[in-house]
Amino acid sequence: MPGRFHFNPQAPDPIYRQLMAQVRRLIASGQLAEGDELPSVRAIAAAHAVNAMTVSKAYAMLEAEGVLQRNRGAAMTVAAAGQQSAEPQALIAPAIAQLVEQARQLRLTPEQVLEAVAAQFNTKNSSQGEAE
Amino acid sequence: MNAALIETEGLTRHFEGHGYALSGVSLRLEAGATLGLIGRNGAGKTTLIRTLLGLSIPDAGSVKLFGEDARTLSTAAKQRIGYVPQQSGLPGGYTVAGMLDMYRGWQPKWDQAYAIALMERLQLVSNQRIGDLSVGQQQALALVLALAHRPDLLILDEPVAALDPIARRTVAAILAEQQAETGMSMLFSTHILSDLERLATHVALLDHGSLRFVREVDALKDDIELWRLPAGVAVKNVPDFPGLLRRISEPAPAVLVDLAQGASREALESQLSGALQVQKLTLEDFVVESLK
Repeated sequence: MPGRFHFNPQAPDPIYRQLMAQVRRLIASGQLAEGDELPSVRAIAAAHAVNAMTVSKAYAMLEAEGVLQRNRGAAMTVAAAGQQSAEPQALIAPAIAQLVEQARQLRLTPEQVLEAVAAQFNTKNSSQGEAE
Repeated sequence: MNAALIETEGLTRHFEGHGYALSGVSLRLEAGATLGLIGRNGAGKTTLIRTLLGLSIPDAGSVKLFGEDARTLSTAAKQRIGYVPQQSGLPGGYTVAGMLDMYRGWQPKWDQAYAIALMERLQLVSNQRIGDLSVGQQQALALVLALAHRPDLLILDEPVAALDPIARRTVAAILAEQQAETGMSMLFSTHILSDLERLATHVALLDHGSLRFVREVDALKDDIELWRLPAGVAVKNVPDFPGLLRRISEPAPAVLVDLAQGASREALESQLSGALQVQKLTLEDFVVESLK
């Protein structure tokens, strides 16, 4: 289970935020559901050779956001509210913000960007269709 | 209040004809924290580590370990420390097992079962002569000898420099486990930033014997950004503003900023009447920029 995560220590994003994003994604994609247990801090630290305080920090922040629930003497679990807070739209918002920023710098109109996004969707769909 | 594990004040060390190896270095390491010490070759990392341990005497300044003066450290305090020097310096005629026995006699809290488990993970064989081990294996053995009494403070000088990538990852995992289990604090010097980013809570940059900064790794990554200037704006035309760390003209005009010191992108964009392009920096990028 700790092996589900992947960390890139040299990415600009700090490791605690990489972990938070991955937990949210696992919940959004249904791989973690309400009540499911998270690996212990020690298990993640040992499996990925990362500082335990970094893992604790990510868990504490997810707990503060209501995504995870701390259980006395037992593993952290996915909270009831965690499922709602991990809406797919919320997860893709940072990527969209980045796209819009780059589009502005390139002086593209919203219509041009939407058209390009739709075209990208179509190529992805058709290539997946072929693979099946 | 618990004393800091390490506390130095104005450490200064001057080498005849070579200038300052250390110049006014003041730093603290709190319980549970791990400090990665970086800097170019000759920046003073090894001198700082040796001075912390009382192996090198400063010309000025003081070192306290666990609140005690490092020069007159009690035996009890010494037994809370583990140290892995850059060159292991272990006697070549001894076997691995013989070395373990010797340390076991010195360290009352020595955990032999743990020492043997570590040896196996690092693929050390007990009847091997130390002189026949590779430099990397000797470094691995020095690590076992420094860890088996489960120190509260582990100090490592370039611990993984001679290790291959697999052994390096094993060492990082061993250290991370020990941190998780016992709350051990560490101070280590390294050139390998990915190890630092895995294990360190704080990073300190030493440059010509002076500390350029000590910061939390996470905060550094969250707060430091590079802003590329709008087309046609020269970097010398950027006014001073809070959080500006440096103006960069090559390869493209940009400014290095610290959000924690109040750098505001909106404010600068309105002053320059153009959009800034934001780039997040890796620790390595930031270190290279800082040393330019």
